[in-house]
Amino acid sequence: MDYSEAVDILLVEDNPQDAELTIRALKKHNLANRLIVVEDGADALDFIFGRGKYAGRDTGHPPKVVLLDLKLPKVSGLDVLRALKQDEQTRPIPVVIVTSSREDPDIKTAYALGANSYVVKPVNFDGFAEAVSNLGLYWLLVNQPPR
Amino acid sequence: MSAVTQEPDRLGRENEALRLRVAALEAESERFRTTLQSIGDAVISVDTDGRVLQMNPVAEALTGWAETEALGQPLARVFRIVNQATRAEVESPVERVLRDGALVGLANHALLIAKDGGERPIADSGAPIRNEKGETTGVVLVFRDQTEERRAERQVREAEERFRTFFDSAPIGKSIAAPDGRLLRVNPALMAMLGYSVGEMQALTSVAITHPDDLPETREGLRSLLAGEREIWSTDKRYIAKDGHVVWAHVVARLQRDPEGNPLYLLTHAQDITERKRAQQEIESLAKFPEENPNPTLRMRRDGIIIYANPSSKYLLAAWSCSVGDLIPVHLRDRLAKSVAEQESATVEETYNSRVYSLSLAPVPGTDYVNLYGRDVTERVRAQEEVRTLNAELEQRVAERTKQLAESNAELEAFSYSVSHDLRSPLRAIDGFTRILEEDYAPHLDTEGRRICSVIHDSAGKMGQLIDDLLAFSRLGRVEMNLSRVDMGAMANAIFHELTAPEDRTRIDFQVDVLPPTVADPTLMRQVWMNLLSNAVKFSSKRERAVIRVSGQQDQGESVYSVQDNGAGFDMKYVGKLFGVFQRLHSGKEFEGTGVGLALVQRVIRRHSGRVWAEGKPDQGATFCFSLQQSGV
Repeated sequence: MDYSEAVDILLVEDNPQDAELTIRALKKHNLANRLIVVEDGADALDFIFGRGKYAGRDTGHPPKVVLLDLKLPKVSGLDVLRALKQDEQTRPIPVVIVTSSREDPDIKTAYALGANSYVVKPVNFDGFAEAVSNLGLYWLLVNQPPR
Repeated sequence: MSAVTQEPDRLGRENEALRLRVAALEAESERFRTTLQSIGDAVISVDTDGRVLQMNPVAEALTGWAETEALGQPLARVFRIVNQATRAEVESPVERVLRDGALVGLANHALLIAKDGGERPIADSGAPIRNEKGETTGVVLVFRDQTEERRAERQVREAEERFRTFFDSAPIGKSIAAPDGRLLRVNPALMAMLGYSVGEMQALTSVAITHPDDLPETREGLRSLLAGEREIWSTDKRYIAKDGHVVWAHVVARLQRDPEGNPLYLLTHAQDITERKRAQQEIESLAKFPEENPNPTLRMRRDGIIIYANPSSKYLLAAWSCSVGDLIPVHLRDRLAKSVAEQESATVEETYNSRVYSLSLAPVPGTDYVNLYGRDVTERVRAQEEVRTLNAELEQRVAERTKQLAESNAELEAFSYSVSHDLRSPLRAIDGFTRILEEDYAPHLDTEGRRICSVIHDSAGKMGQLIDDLLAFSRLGRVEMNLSRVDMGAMANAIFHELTAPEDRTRIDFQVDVLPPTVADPTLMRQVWMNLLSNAVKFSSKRERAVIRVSGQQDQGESVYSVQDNGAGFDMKYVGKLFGVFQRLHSGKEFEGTGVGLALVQRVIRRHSGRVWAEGKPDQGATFCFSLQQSGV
């Protein structure tokens, strides 16, 4: 994928199986065409802010939605979220917290930091696929980002 | 003439002899008369007929008769005597002398009645008068005025009587003893004091009744009296009474001597002072009370000068470096002044070297002194400090434990999160990739292949459910309880409707009695009803007509709720396993479930300080009950 192009979905997910399942679910609804996956928080921030290996990327076209796992290597999901919501440029980007468990102690903090939504990934694939596609449909097609 | 001349010579000589004889007789008679006249006793002589021949002037004076008057008178007229007591005439002594011919003493107590009627006591006697031939020719009566004699006699008797009364009726013991100590006479008070009779006492000596311990002193006292070293000897000594008990007496003894100075009698007064002695001993014993007190006890004047300190005050006095007569330390003096001004006791704690003393200053109302009572409270203070240290240690330990508990709770939480998060991901992959297999490789799968895929799906789902239930169960132990009033009937009804579809409700006869309300955490209580009612629905699902009945009652401060169904029931043999985590009495094939539900119910009820129990029979339904405290409803 050409990183200079506009991206619809930034998927921050360290688990490749989950990433694959997510992409598959989105693909069924043709929502995965402009999707990029990064595997840790540091990459996610580099991508958004056009740093590191994404240096020179046009940050004028932010992703329509960030699907953010909280448990990430290096920079945690919460730190990514905090960084995004502290920056005026990136604050409007919708961030959806995607987590494996509703037990996650960080969910409250995530909301406090400005997370826009929160989705639990069901074990059951059908449920999972439905949740992910609804998510994609909503944020890509229904939600109107600020101009 | 010679004869004639001789005759007048003879006659003359005879005449002369006669004259001489008469003269001699006359002289004798005169002498007799003079003697009679001058004799001190009254004398009356009578002839054998009892007629008065002669009486002397004393007889005249006593009878009131002149001799000239009385001569020839019968004696009974002149000498009238009566018995002093009976006033009966007394037989004339003359008659008795004449009759008996012997000397007669008159009856005592004879009263002579004089001619003028005057009476006087007399003592008299009569004696016969005999001539040369021994014939009784009369009686001579000799008597004497006894008025003085009798008075003296009476005085002696009265004196004796007075003494006797004085001696016998004295309230203190008295004794008269011989110089050797033999008791001659004792008074009733002494007998009463020692319990002896007169006879018994007179067989004893003053030494014999003395307490052995007091013998030396008694002996020395008696010796000094006999030696004339002292007039009076007095002491407090003990006697031994007849029954053996000790009698304390105040004794005063003196020795009476005859004019020549020889010891006559030992006169002793003994006053019973047993009671006084006992009281005295008690007072002495009480006086020693502060002396014996193991705690410091002092008395101070209001200005702080010590006027008394018992032996146990030694340590305090040493610490203050003062003694009786000195001022107490200045800070205590200030406290004392305050205590006196307020007339209120004050207690201070003072440490001297390593000893701690509690000192109570107590002003005594109505006096000008203040008592100080001290107590060594070192051990108590030490014990208190120990308790304080132990408490501090305990608190420290509790704090440490609490911290450890908090840490382990945090760890558990992290663990739960890990479990939920990390166990789910692979499950999701298993399920998801099986689905991919089914979708992308459908042509390559036969029926068995598709069945296997479905088993994988089911298993993954079940494991997901297990993880969820386990997390819910673990969360229960940690979640904070928010108590509020809960309408149990409404909650049971609502949950039953959530659990069942309309078609289920046509099959199930659901009855809810009026349930007592309670105070509980509503969220947790929902879990309880959810689990109990879903169990009831589940286990009665094979009944054509299921009956589920919810009832409740109040009993002795607690509310008891029960859910009864007519479902599969259980064997009471396994009732102990019923509430354990992951314990199941039915196979998953029969009834689905993870075995967490009832464990969760028990956990919730226990957190509410209640109890859970169950009754059942295989195939005859089960009843699950739980109780909650009513307090606070």
